[in-house]
Amino acid sequence: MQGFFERAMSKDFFATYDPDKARFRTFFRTCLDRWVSNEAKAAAREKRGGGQIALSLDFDAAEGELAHVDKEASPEELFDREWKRSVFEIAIADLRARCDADGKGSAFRVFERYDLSDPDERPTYDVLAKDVGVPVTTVTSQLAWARRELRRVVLEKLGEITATPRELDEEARSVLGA
Amino acid sequence: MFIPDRVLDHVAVVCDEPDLTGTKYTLVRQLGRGGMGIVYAVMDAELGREVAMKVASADDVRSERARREARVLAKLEHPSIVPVHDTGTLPDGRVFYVMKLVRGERLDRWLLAHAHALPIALRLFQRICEAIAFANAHDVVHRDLKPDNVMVGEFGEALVMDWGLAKEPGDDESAIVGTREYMAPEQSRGEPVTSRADVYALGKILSRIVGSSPPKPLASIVARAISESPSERYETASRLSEDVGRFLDGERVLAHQETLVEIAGRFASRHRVVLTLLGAYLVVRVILIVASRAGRGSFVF
Repeated sequence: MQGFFERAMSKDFFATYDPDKARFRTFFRTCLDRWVSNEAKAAAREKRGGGQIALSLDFDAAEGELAHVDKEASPEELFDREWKRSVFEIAIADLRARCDADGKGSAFRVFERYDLSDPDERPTYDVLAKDVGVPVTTVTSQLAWARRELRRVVLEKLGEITATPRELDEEARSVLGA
Repeated sequence: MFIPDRVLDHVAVVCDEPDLTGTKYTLVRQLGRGGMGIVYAVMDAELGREVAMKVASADDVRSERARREARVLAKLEHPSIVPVHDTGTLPDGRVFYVMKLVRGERLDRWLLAHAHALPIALRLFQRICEAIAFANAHDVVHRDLKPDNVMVGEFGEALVMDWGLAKEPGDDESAIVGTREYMAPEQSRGEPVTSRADVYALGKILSRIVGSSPPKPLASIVARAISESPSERYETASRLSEDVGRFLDGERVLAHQETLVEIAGRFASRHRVVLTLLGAYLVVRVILIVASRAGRGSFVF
């Protein structure tokens, strides 16, 4: 994926995006498919006797990336899930930065401890309140605030990559909620 | 940072839930998601009862539609129109309104479970007609009537829902709104619509209720309700309901030109008891006459 982004930026792929023709997600997916296809062809050429390059195989990193992949999912489902994950990763990083800048670090920590922890290890509001040293009502209000802010940031990010309110709505529906 | 799947699913759901802080409601569960937004079951803490909260998607068009829908519902107090209790804006900026939580099932699902209960379904249809007639009389055209937008309550009552596309006097009519399958021809062409567009949609619903091989009078009612030209349809939803009522009562349906055989059949069906008694009397009478002649008796009944 990193190679794709490097190529995309250097070749100015996204300059050819026309919002009248397709959603940004569709355009992005087409670019990615094309890149994967070109990479596969290049690899085949190498295999047929191209340049002799010493390959550095990082099996640990590859295993780590593949560990969470649902083997039963279709490529489209995998793409959609990774898209959603990327949107939330970017939005949460943005939310963390804003909280730090605005002195709302404690609200982010409550959000992080509760919503970003593994469901099996998620603390109760009581436990969380004791850990953080605030009343339970503060925990619930900070959680509500952080979730509301996260939703706003997600919509803001989606707004940056969509061309019309309709497209934004479709994206929001596919990314937010169940 | 990497977000595991289970955490991702949780975060995506909780950050989309309505922020009810500062309101008298607490979230119970999500009931459904539609074109306008999401409907949740929420607990009204003051009254101690569950109600339904419709939360509009956070864009200007849907927010305005939700406000309008709440206003329309407030205007239409009718037993077959879901009542609105409250409206406002959540801390996250989304517009909401609170309405009665209807416990029951959507008409399309109800019809699947009651496929052989035509008279009951027709009585239910009449109640839908009455609700629409009431709205039309208040200058409101629903414009998106379909079985999915009608709930059948646990007492067998019909409740017409989803008034977000309703037209009131002075509304912009240039946009084509509705559901294609139930949309009147003039509505799908983007022409001005009247209450007869609702009559058309009711005809489509009736067609779904009566199935593919209905009795001829019912087929005629459907045909008239879904006429291409608005002027050839029933004038009002009440007129449509009345014709369905005539069918149920064994009377002549106005939309249907009866043959003599059909008139006789309807008469026989309507006066079945009297005709049965009369037939039995005649049979007994004939038997006694025959018996008296055969036995040369003088007794005549």
